[in-house]
Amino acid sequence: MPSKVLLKKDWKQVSLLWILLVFLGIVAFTVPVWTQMQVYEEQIRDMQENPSNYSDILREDVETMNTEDFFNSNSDYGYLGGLESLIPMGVVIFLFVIFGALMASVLIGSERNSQMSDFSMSLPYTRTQLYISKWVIGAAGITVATLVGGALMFLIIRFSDYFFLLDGNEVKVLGLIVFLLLSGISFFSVSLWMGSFGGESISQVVWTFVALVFPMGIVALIQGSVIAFSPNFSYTFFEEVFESVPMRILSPLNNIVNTGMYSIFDSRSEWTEFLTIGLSSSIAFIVLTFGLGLWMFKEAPQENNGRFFMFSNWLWLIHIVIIICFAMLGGVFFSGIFYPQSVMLYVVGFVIGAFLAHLLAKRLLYRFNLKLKS
Amino acid sequence: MLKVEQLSKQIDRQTILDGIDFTVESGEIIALVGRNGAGKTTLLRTMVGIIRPDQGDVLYGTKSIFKDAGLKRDVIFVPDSADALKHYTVNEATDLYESIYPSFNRSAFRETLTRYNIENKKIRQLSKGQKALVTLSLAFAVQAKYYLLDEPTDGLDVVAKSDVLKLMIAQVEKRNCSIIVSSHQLHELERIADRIIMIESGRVKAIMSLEEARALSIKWQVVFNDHVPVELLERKDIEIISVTGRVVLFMAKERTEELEAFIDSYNPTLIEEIPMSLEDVFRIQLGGEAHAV
Repeated sequence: MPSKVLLKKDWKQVSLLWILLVFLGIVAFTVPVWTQMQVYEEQIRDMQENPSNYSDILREDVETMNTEDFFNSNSDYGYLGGLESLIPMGVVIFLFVIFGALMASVLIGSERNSQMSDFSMSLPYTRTQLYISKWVIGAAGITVATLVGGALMFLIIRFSDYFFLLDGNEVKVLGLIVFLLLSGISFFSVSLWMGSFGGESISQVVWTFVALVFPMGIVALIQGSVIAFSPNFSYTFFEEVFESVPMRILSPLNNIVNTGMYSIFDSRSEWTEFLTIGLSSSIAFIVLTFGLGLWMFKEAPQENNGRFFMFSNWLWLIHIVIIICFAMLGGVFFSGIFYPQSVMLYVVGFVIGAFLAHLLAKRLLYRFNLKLKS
Repeated sequence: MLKVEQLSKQIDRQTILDGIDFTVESGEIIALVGRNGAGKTTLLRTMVGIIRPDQGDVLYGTKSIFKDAGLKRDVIFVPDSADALKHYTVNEATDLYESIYPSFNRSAFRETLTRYNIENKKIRQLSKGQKALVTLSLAFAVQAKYYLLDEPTDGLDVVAKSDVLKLMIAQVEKRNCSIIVSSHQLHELERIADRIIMIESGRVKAIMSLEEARALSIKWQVVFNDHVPVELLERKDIEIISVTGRVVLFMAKERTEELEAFIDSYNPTLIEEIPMSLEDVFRIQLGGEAHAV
């Protein structure tokens, strides 16, 4: 259990962002729904007023059609959309990515920027307690924003002219709200973990971006490199990799992309996959990032607060990873300039990318690392 | 009893602490002195468990601070600025301390605030002296057994410095707590410290009482018959403070028979031993201090 005192201390730091997140969460869940309903309304009105413009869709007298008929994909009246268009997944996820990173950087990064970190570490609490308190307060913000926003969204739909869209789909909407909640906590959790990679708030945000992009990015680079050397290599292999369970666990963005948002309402198999793989991948990612974050927070050398990378003994590894990634990027970029792809150009791009990455890594990891500290 | 055992720490492959070893008894005020970059702040941060050592341990009683975070209820670290609490009002900081430390004495803290006329404002809005008084008063109101203070009087005016020192002395007298204080304000430490720990390049150069420190080196004013001998001025083992006509004032790291014989060989008119201040001891033992007052 987190300490009440630590929660109070962390609340003092993050309260403004927390309240803003809840407010914007409510806005993100409800306003797009409202707007989409207005769009539906206008479309229906337009169809009713100008039926001749829709003669290819409308096969019967528009006067006899009720609102429900416009959303029935099996009827001859046309199809305006469904619940998937009403639920604002994208807006909410964008909000959670931004606020997850902001809250985490205030809770850890900006503490490391100031003497607050020393103060926290000198208190009679273990580092585990300190970390759990930060995680709980951030996750609570996302939970409150999702539950309040999601409930309001549900009620808005329920009491609107489009209530029939919910019929039989209540559990699925609830499932999507839970998925959004878990995705939000995933983004916050990874960002909090990155607070032990970077020694201050800006580098924490940079590392968060890297952590979110890295799993998909590295597979894309390997795919580009393999295809540069053997153009006939099966694309299906990499598609399977992207859709695989380990990739969905390692990358919350990949999990969202692979969640068949538009088909879970219609397809039973998609719904089953969503319930099993989609939700459990999110939970696994949260458990993984929380565990790693806690471990690294406990191990992070406090004397490196303020640096771009906290674990100075592992700078060499980060250096090598940066070089490999940028070298592959250079190779993929150069080989893609001409068709058919050239192995020679890949090698040239690889070498140039590696060289530039080496210079960048030297500046970023060694000189900039010390400069930030000072 | 606080025991620092063979504490070593490297940062960026540089040795910051190198086998630091000492003990502190209850009711002692220890002055931690050393030049800038000697490792004083790192030592204090390690002693409260903020930084983990590469080797060695810090024991409060028989327990290691790195294994038992609960020990920190009795070990208060006060850094050189109130930056950590700058967004708190004085009352909010009081509430925070009270909730963290069950032994926090609110009335004692209130008394200090009233005595020094400190209002309930955001801590960042207070003057530097008031900030120092608030952070120290908060720390002392905890009624802990050990206090680690990093430059508590740095940048304070004479009155505020005096108030801070009074607070420290009052705590030791009242509660027999131990205070380890790092400071460049040597003449202030001189007034309160029982023992001095000199740190040089991450090592303990000497641990001694003020009397022992004073006895270790000498400060002489010598009046010669004719002129100050050039051979004296050229000696490497002394530091010349001033030369005025036939009068020379100098300090030597050690009192040696050879030095005494050397001075006597010139048949000086007068040899007067001047009492060493802590600053003098610091200058001659650790090679001077640009920021020493």
